[in-house]
Amino acid sequence: MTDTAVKNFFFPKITKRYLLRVGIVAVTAFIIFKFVFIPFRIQGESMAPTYVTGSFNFCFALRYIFSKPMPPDVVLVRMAGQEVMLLKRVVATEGRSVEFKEGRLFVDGKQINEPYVSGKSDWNVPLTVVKPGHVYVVGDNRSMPAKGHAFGQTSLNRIAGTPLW
Amino acid sequence: MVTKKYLAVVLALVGAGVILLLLSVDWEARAVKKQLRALAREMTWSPGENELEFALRVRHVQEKISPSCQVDIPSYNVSQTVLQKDIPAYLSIARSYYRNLSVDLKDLKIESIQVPRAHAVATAYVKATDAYDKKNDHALALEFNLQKIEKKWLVTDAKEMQVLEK
Repeated sequence: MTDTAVKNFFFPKITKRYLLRVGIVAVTAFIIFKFVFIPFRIQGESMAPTYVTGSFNFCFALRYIFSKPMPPDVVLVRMAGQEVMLLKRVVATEGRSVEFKEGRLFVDGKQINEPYVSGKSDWNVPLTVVKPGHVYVVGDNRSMPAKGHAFGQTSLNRIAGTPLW
Repeated sequence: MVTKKYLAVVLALVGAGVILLLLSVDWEARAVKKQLRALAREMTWSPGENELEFALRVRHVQEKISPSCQVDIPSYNVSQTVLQKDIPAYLSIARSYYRNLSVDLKDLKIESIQVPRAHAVATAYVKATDAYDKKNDHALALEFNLQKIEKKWLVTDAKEMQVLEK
């Protein structure tokens, strides 16, 4: 690169064309990061060890336009808006029964193999049938007491998307 | 002469823009949001708070709550009608139970507003540490009903929305 090229890169001439380019890039970035890839930082241990507190990710908001969340998808559950969301794993879809016995997950009476769960769990949660238009979500960290863990069924309307990685 | 003419046009355009901006602002919605944010700020305390600060905070909370307010927040085992006159006692109990507490409202939205009533939702990020240094942090989806009484928006209901149903 010549000195002029470097200079032009860092100190470009403010022309109409340049301003238009900057405008287009800004608008595109705003749309992409507001509605398609929503950046978020993970706080809390409910999805450990799959997702740890402090890590950064993007919520891919278009993931469920043509499909519905299925087990074992990881999803973001909207609260009042998109600024604070819950990161959980889908374990059952509508009409299925969910139950935890001594830390083991049973869906429709069958024990589910969950390689993403590590650590001992003693959860006992009575059988629940997932309502129409809902999915049952739970975190991967079952070593924490069930009382202090946010899990249960949620409306499909509250699913904001899925983490990008 | 030409410059003056252009300047006048620019001034007129800017003026029209400012007027349009002022007209498009929903002042009542802004007042509701301001009131809720102020209430969240008043629900924040730390161990260093002295009695005078506490008394002032109690008064500010009382000013934002209707004479009778229904509070249902199962995550913190709260479900009762709170009378304005009982707020000092409730806050005193809460302060002795939680050494420090902070409430941060995110995603505050006005769902409907028809003076004198308003309905708002928000995610409250509550960070609390009890007397035994045990943390009790929660992100709560809350809905509020407010009523405008004597030019002030007062909270009549605060209820936790069920995002995950066990």
